[in-house]
Amino acid sequence: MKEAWKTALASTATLAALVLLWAWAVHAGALDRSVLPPPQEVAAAMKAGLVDGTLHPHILATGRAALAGLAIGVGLGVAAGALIALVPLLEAFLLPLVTAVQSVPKVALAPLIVAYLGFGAASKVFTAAMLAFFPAFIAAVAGLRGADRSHLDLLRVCGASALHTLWNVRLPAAAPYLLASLQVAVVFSLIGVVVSEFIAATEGLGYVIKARSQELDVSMMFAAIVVLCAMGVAGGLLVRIAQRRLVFWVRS
Amino acid sequence: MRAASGGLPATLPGAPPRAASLSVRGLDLTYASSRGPVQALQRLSFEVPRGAFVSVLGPSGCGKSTLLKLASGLLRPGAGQIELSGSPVTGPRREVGIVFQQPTLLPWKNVLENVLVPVRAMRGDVPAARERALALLRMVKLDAFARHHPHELSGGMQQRVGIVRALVHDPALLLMDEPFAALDAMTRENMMVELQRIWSTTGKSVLFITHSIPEAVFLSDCVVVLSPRPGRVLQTMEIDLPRPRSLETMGSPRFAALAGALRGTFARMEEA
Amino acid sequence: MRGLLRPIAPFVTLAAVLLAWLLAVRVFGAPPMLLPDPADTARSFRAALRSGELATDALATVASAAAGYAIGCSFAFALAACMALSRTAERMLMVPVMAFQSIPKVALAPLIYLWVGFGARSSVTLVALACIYPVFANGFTGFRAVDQNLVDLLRSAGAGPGRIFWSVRLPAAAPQLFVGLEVSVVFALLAAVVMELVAGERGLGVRIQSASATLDVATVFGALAVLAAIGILASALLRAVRRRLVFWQRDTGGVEATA
Repeated sequence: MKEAWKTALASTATLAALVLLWAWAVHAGALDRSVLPPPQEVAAAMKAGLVDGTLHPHILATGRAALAGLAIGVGLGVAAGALIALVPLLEAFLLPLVTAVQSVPKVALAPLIVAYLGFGAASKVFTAAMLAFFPAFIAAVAGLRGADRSHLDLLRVCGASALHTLWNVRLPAAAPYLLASLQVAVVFSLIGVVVSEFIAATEGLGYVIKARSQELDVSMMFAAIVVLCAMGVAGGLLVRIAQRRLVFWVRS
Repeated sequence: MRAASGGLPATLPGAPPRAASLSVRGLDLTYASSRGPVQALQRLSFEVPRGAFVSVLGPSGCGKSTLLKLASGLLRPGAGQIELSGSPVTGPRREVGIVFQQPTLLPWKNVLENVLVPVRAMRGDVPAARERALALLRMVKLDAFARHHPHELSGGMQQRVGIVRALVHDPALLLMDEPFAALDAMTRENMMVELQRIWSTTGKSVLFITHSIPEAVFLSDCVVVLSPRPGRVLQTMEIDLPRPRSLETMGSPRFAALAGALRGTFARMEEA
Repeated sequence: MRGLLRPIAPFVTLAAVLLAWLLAVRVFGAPPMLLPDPADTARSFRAALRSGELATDALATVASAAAGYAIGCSFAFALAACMALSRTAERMLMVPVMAFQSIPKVALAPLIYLWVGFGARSSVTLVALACIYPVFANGFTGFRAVDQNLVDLLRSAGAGPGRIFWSVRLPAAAPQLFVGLEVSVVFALLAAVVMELVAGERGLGVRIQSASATLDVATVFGALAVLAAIGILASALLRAVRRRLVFWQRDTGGVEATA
């Protein structure tokens, strides 16, 4: 417990020092107001955005698209992984390509997706799904493949069907990997939505950041960024809770 | 003490019909490895009569576990025959129950559900099996833990569940792959006695793989000694100690003589 | 026979995709707006290569990514070493670092553009920021995991902290560090592309952006292909460097998902 207190104290001291430095720098004129507004202005913008509701529609737009993209991307990723587990032959055909694609920044496709699907939610969801697919797929393949040999042998001796084995042994064995990949997928899907909103959108937190940058409204940009942070952290927290409830047998 | 070769009758008196005999003849198995083909077993032949408890004793790497996979139909031999009660083994057989070295219970299911895994896999009658499962758990005194999860049980308890799981679908032959190797010495001794009790109650035929001489002598009617790779039968020894055997039996001069003879075989193996 | 099939299987898939593409365009009449003819794509690709446009763009992207990567990774390395070796530093900085980590770096792109300005400088800045966390996290874990016995051994032999660092701590942490470095390579490219999409003047991202706006799909595909090649080569290069420098470690074989 002593350690935790020491850390909390030290970190708070650092953060406080940074904020004070910030306030002083602006006050002393070392930084131009348009570059970095004083902390009070940022706080005011956050209040306007969150409490008064100016950011609400944007939060909803980004949040909904990210959630949809996450669901679709992860769903497809797990399904594709299950397919490879059921038809092991496919692995040699698909996995090396997916591995190669890992080194490619897939967000580069975002402009093309916007060109095809337009300014609305569709392109955001598509981009998010595309990014969320890969961590889920790779985790699914590794997890489904990595089921305990003895469990598989046991079911084989009992004459279990491939589907039965998939549902009863492979999928639960893959659950820890899948949930871990979900942490990553949450972040990626947010990134996908934000980048899509940068390119072309009419609402959303990414849109706010981009639009406000043109008005030099740094305070509102900060506010939007903070909300994005919070969304990412909240998503991660939810996944961790899910991990503890669903994958109760893994001690980590 | 005779180094007999299959001196036991084909069926032990009092064995229920649901016990199978296992016949292994001229078994050869070679597998591919990164260093080229490796011959695991060579012209292996022995018998497990109905209702008998036969141990296969051998040093590490002599192909004991491979033998188990062959007997259960998980692997096909390169040459030779395996027959279960006269019918050849060509694939996984439901009449066989396996107990692994590690309990390998599914961590996300509770004890009862784990025991029922084979039944569900075989699409069997689950309600009837549940009754059977609870009775078996009662037999090993784990019925109170039926709803617990594996991580709440000790190694010995988990392994007992593993044995019950292997028995739930009433197999005719029980294959056990060094089931007590992962347990500490005290638990191992208790499990030996427990296993003898389970075996005499259920009357199944058992093929028991081990590298422990005392275990083999304590539990078996007959011990088959395997050579280092490639595994061949070096010796078949009848264990004529009276049953039921207790931990005191392990201190008897007859026990020591039998164990000593086996140890001698092992020593000669090392020199060779 | 399986052994022969394995290495050619992915190429079979690629060939199948190419075939499907050809069929879609030539036989099923997919609109050229949606899917250009493979032959046209190849032609415009060759033209772009020959004219040197693609090369200039590629160079611009790679340059900012590489510069940012170097800066970000060096900073992260120093930070990781510092915090792993000093409890005080760790206590003071861990929470701010975690807070920094929770910010999706791409979200900062417009802000950085505002602060740093037009040109490669903002790309380099974003890339540097994006590279920090993977290298820091892995480096920190790596330095922390050093066998204390080894350190004690050297200390009792009279070695100073600097020596201990270079001969024990660094090599021990190297495998883990490299994991971070490899992950960061892809993040670097990602950040460079995103910055270009937001406000770039030159680079593959810009090319993709402008070509997409005019639905010049052939050009987009060409630029994407070059980007893909750069990404794959960069990862492969880093893996090769790791195998030479950290020769005592077997390939982890794990695959990291990236955006």
